[in-house]
Amino acid sequence: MAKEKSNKYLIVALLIGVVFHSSAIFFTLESTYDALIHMFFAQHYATSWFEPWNYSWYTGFTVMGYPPLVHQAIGLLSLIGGLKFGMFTVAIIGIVLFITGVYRYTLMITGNRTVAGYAAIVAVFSSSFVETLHIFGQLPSIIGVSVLMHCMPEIYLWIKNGRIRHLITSFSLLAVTITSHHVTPIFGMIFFIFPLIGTVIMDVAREQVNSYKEIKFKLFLTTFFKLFKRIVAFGAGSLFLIIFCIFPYWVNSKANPITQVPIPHGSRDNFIEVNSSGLMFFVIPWGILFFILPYILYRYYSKRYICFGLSISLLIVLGTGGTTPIPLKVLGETAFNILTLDRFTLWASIMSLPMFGEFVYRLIEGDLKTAIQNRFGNVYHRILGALFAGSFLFFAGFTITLGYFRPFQPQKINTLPLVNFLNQDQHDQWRFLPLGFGDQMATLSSQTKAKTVDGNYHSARRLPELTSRAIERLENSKFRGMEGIGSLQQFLTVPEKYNLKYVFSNDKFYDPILYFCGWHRLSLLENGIMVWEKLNVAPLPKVLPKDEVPLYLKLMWGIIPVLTVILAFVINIQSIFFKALKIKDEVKPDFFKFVVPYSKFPFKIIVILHLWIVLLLGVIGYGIYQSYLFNASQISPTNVVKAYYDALDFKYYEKAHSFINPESHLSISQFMLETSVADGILNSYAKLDAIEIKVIKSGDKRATLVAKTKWITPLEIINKDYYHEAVKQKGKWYLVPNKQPLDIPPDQFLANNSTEYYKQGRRKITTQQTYHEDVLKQPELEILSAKLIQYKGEYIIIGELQNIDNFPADVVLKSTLYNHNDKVLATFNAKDVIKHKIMPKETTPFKVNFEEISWLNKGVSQPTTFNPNEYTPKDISETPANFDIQSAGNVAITDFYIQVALSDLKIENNHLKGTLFNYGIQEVTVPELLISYYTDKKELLYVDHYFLREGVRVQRKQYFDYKMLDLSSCKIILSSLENCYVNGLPNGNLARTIIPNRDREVEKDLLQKVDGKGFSFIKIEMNNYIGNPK
Amino acid sequence: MIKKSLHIVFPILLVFLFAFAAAKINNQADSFILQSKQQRFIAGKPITLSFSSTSKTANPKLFLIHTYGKTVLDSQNNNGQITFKIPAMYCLKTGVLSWYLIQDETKITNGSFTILPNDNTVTKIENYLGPPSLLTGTDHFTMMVAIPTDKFDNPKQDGTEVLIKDQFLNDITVTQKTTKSFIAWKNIYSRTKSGKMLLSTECNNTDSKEFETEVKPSIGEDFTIDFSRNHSFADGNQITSLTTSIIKDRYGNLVGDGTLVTFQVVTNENVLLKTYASTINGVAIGQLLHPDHQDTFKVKAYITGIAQSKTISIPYLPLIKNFKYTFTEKNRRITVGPVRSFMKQLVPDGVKVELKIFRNEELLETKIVETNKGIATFILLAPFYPEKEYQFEITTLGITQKTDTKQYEVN
Repeated sequence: MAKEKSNKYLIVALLIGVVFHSSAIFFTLESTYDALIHMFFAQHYATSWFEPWNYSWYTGFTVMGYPPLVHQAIGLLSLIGGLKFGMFTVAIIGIVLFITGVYRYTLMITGNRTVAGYAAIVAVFSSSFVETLHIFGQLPSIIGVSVLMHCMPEIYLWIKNGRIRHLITSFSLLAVTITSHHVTPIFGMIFFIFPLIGTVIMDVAREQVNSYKEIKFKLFLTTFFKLFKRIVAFGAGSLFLIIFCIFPYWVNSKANPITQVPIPHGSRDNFIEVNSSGLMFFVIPWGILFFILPYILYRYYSKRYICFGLSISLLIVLGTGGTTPIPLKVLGETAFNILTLDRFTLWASIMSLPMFGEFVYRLIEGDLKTAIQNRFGNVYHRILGALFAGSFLFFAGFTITLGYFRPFQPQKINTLPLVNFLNQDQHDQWRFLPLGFGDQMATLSSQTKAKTVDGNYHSARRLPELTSRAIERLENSKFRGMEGIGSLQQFLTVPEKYNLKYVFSNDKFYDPILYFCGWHRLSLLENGIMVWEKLNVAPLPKVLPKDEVPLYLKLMWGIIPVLTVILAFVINIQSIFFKALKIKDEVKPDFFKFVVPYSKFPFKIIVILHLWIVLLLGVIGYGIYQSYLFNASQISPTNVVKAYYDALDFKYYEKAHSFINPESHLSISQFMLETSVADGILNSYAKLDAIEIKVIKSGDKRATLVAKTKWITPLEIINKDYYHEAVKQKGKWYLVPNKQPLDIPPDQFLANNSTEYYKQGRRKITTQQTYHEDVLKQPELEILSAKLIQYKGEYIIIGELQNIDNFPADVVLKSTLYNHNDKVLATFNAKDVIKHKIMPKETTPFKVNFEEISWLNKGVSQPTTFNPNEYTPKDISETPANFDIQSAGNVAITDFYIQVALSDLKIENNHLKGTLFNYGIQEVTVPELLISYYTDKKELLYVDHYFLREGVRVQRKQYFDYKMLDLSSCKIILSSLENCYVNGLPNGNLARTIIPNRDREVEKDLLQKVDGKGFSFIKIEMNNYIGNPK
Repeated sequence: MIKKSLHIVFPILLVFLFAFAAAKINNQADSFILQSKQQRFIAGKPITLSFSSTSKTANPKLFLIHTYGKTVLDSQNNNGQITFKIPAMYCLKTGVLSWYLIQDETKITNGSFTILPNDNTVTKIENYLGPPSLLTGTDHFTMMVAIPTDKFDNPKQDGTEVLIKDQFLNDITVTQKTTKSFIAWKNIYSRTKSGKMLLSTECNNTDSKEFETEVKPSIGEDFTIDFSRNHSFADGNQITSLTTSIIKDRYGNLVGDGTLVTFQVVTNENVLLKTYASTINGVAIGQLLHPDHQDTFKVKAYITGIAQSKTISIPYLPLIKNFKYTFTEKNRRITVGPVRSFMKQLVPDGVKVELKIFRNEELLETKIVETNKGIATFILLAPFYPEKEYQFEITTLGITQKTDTKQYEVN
């Protein structure tokens, strides 16, 4: 037997692969979805190898929920050169393992070294691999599947020849797969190893007859029974390994079963309806492979590979997600909702690689080339080849640069200022919450000891506030509609429950909700992140709860994974050396006997391929045509309005301006000015959710339309109707620009005096806790009235409160309902119906709604529409008999903007139509009206709130139109100040020393007489949020 | 045979063994006599307890109970002299120290002695003051607590004299207090003037650092308000300033800066409008927009539940008596104005003009346009207003004018 030469294709593949991918990962890996999470886990192992409990995320979670090998490997390597070094090194190892894995797997499938070399080369640029590594960052998945491919030839040889050496090598490799990714070996058994066993049986049967055609089912069955012992030995062994190697994982999944509401994942979407998911989870992973799908199926459905054929067909179908109902039926509801289905497409594409390599080989130098050249000529073959190679490389390039052109993550955040902030002044004694960080929150967590209530590994979530909703993270809750914002609002309203004191906001969107929940801005860090703070939150206790696990599980978890790598290395190193260095002639493995001669490429396959490609191109062309039609914006008045709003929503002002009637001579700069002068919740914090356009009046050349828009804001859902006029000019419809308010502020220049405050905190520069003499007295508050009411079946606490101190106060108000036996029924804090920051002697009404952790009961169906203002009222089955209020004042120094006057009011048809006038020098971004309703005896009955859609600019007016409620069903159950407490002391005790004779009658002068349903008086107060304080 | 003899010998042996052991213990029950009879020790000085014993070999143990905790000491038997050195850490801390002499796990004797603060060392003083802010008046007070200690942080004995001093403006008070239960304290009552009060304490020539408490003004008393404005016309554009008198508490101190004052306006139509302001140096200045029609504002200011002003009346004169309007372009363009103000100047841009469109006395639509250079224009496009005749009502600056019925061409 002649000495084998080194396979030059494999060497080329390795060289190109390592250079291409390892230089690209430095630009892609850190902005992938998962890589930073793996880095966070690695950091955990690097600091506490044997301790599975991690306090950083949620309220503590166990890392035994994910196979540890890759994390531990990064952690180990991080001891040499830091976490990033570890991650990149492991990624490069993954690349090498993948390319060699594809080579060995192809070699086993085809038995042809040249074909295997081709497959290794195409594997380098295969779009599914590029996507998994450079977009998803799924390192454990890559390493798992690569090692599995290395393992398969060994399994083949064990079953074929029964040499115990092969059994040991296959087990050693399988163990590595198991400890790096649990799903890969479990499904790998079904989709890779079962067909492999089928192929072995086929091959053994083939040896007994002359051709595959002669293998009948009976022979197949008898051969199967002949090999049964080996198969069972392998099966039992691998089952044992799957259980044993990650035994702590199984114990943990039993102890903490995943009971949470499934998180929506794009791979479960209908790809035709949700095109972006289709692109990410179907088009990209398949890439150019999809064009030669008939060839792949043709080859895999040949008799030898029939089992692979069935397997790949199932994988293809399962990978279609929600496009067809089959995956749901095959997997069942539970598995369908837990698994991400894109992995099936990934495996299908990896399974296709040998056939792809074979196809390329046959196209470039094999029988396909000959067939095409004979039939269509040399030129056609060259053009075809060039197109094929070009589009293949284009797909790889497109995939790897996708993240650059369409970022999946917020811009890279410099975490150093955040880490410094948390280390300063014992800020890490509280939990923090990042908002708008994307997966970079994992980076922050791996750099600080401070803990967050949020986390980035959703299977480990523990708080019912999180597990009962389909939200991945609080951090990006705005993308999760009502559930996300609703969840976030609960965390922000009752932060003391979670010892949550700091919010790092990287997204302005959340600012209003933070303000109205009683948070205030602390400082803008140098990386542009705003720190928000909440007062009156206790620091974390020194000892935090954790779930203890037995020592043997900790030892297994810490030792086995690395041990599997060492064992696999020791066991396989010999053969790797022999193979690589060609020191010794190895016996050719058995699968070389079953080479298919590439002699005559069947012509009908060429025809089918052509038809298939034409069909695909037709579908693509149709899609492009459809999208063109969809985007034809000026063919009707309705389209132009729609296009205009789309453009505005994405802030494409130039495009929006192009829809404005050119005859109105509105310059782009004027247009920009008019669009941007208006601040407010709609202009600055809203996302267009839906738009419905109705034509009110229409003529040939002119039409009046109303755009009924629905906007998502952090505070509530806003429906607003905009009236537009459209005109037709030269066959195209344009919008007539809306008239801008002409109102002119009275003064050109104005001076304003106001009191400003500053708190020193610690006066001495020291790391010690604040000296007692630097602790300010808590401002004295007085609760003026408190009532338990029932309105629309819900129990609500309302009342009024005054800051009677000389210091401005931040008010936290918590109320609890009790039954007759003084059992607590519900407790909650005042959210946005209260002025949290009040000046000395200022009063504020308040309302406490008792919110339930939404959809805790499985039976309750979740609303599909988004309304952040909506919540699930707590189901209080017993009638509350009593309530208490605990209020606390703390010295506040910002956010008291009072210079907004109610300068006009009309009461007509049950509507309050009024004008606000801002006489100060700050622009009010979101004005909130607090409307208190009173009975005919001037007794407080209800408190409502209303957010104005637009802000109030300096010395300008803003109009509001508020529809008064029907309160005929609202009844006061209990009105009592008995159990009200201020700063821990009974309400009123201290107040009487400050205000000995309070005049309660005067308050009644301040009420507006109205003719309302169930009420007779109202009071309007303003709470002003300044978005950009100057 | 041997077995049988064993049965007899073994019990006898056992009896002997016990008898011997008992004798040995009885021998050891030596007497221990405390030699050091001192009952009071001074903190910081070494303390040794010595016993004389009849035994020259016994090594009893001493079990100590002290505020620092409990411990067991080993002894040294020096020819019948047994000494225990109390650990230095225990010697520094005052309080009662109980001891139990223990021999073979049995208490032999016990006793106790007291460690007293060391008055020969430097006196230190620990202070607590609260609350850090007070209101003016005679009822409010802040409490100064002083705890004098010796060098080892032991509180001085009761009856130690402490001077508690406070300064307010020119007034410096020094009070002598004695400690009781370790602390000396004094309630320092507030004054009728607001300001900063400084406090300190002194004991045995050791002085504390400076402490401070703020005397803040009490609640405000009733006050008056006044207004100022550019002109008295209801132009809907200018601003009227509402100013309070200097608001003071009952002792004549300016109320705290930032005190919120609500100015409430009652219009002729009994509609309540309001504006807010916070005080600076006792004065709050609120601002209000002029109405755009003739009105009289009755304004009263409140510090809710605490103080209020008398009502003042602010009349606003109408800006115009009437205005011009024209119909052109086959009645399809309605031009209102130019609207002229009190000096015949054009009204400021942005005055609201309301057009009510009626057909057969039935209101079809209300259009609002703001004036630009005194003129407001309404255009009634033929496709949208196809009827033959309409009537209109035009309102601006509180003046309403009704037009004749206008005829329109129908295409």
